[in-house]
Amino acid sequence: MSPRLLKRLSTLAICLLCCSPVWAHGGLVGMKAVWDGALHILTSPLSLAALVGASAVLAGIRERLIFALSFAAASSAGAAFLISSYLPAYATPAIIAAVGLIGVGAWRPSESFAFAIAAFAGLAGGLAAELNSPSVPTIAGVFLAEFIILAGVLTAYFDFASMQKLIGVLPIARRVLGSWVAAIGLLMTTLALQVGKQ
Amino acid sequence: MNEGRFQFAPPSATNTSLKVLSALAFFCLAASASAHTGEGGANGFLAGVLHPLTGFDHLLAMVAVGIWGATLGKPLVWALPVAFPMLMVVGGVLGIAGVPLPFIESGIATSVVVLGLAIATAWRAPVPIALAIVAAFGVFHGYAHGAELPSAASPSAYVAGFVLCTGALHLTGVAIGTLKRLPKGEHALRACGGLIAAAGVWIFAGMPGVA
Repeated sequence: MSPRLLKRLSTLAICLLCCSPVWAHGGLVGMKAVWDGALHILTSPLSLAALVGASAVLAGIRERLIFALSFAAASSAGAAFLISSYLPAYATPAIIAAVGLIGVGAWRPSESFAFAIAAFAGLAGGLAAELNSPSVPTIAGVFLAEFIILAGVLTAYFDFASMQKLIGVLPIARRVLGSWVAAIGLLMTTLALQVGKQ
Repeated sequence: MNEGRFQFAPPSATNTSLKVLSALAFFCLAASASAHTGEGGANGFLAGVLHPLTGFDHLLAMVAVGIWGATLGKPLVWALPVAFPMLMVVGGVLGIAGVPLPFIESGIATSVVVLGLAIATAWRAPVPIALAIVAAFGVFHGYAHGAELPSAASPSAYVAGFVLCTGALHLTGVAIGTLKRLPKGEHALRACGGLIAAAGVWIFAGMPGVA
């Protein structure tokens, strides 16, 4: 064994002996409510449908608006619990269906209307997360999940749109995703109306 | 200009088709996963995903829509997979509301036969007619899905599952449809259509030998 290797192994051994015990996940205890909020968005099919619908409609909007739109969507998702008790059960899927139908039509909204769509889609996502009197960290989790995903998808769209091979595919993908979101929204609206009747 | 960067040659249609077919073969060989069954929302989602997959008639019809769209080219390659879920909603609404719709199973079997024949005969249907055919069949398939919706463990997860699975089957069909770029690919697709139509007749006859 060369002196150099011996020196390195000794250093490694000292480092390993000196390290403090690891408390796995210890730091997450305080963050639990934040993850909880984020997971409500990520595990609710309707919340995800709202996010996908918003992405399908807003993809391709001016790059400088991406973060403002994501902020609008995330803010309304975080504030959704404030009005959830005043809205009928069919409101959430109806908003999602409307967003999906806009995606199917490949309608390119104006800047101001894009903000309205982002706010409504965020609201639907927040309502579908079904949070009852959430704590501030939980709301922060909802906000962060909505903001990061939407901003990430819209930013990634610009990278994909610059790829020659995807130029023809992306508008089709947006329509197809829009049709899936619209189908989910319309079926759930019908079910909510049917349950309400009974 | 691009010195120092990796240059990738664009994959040929043959390569892409072979990759897609290999992937499909692997999916067909995969054993079913049984982890975490029966867990609320996940169960609803899985039930939704499995509904089109476990029904042979649904499976063939969805894949046939994709193949037919791919063989017809633009704009039907995307218009058919978009129109289908939209009209499936109409059937789904009727199913949820419990409105009786006659000949559902026959309609679904007919959809398999008609779509199979359309592929087998390489019928280049005009856009409105192709859309009308797919839309009409979408109502039958949607009704069958929708009728099960109110009893699902988690309706929203069930809806998401079957809509995503239906879409994925359409895309699988479109991927199979890319075979037409291969030499003899068109013949292979027509043979595929013939098999689908034959399976449709078998389903129509009540699947003798199985059911």
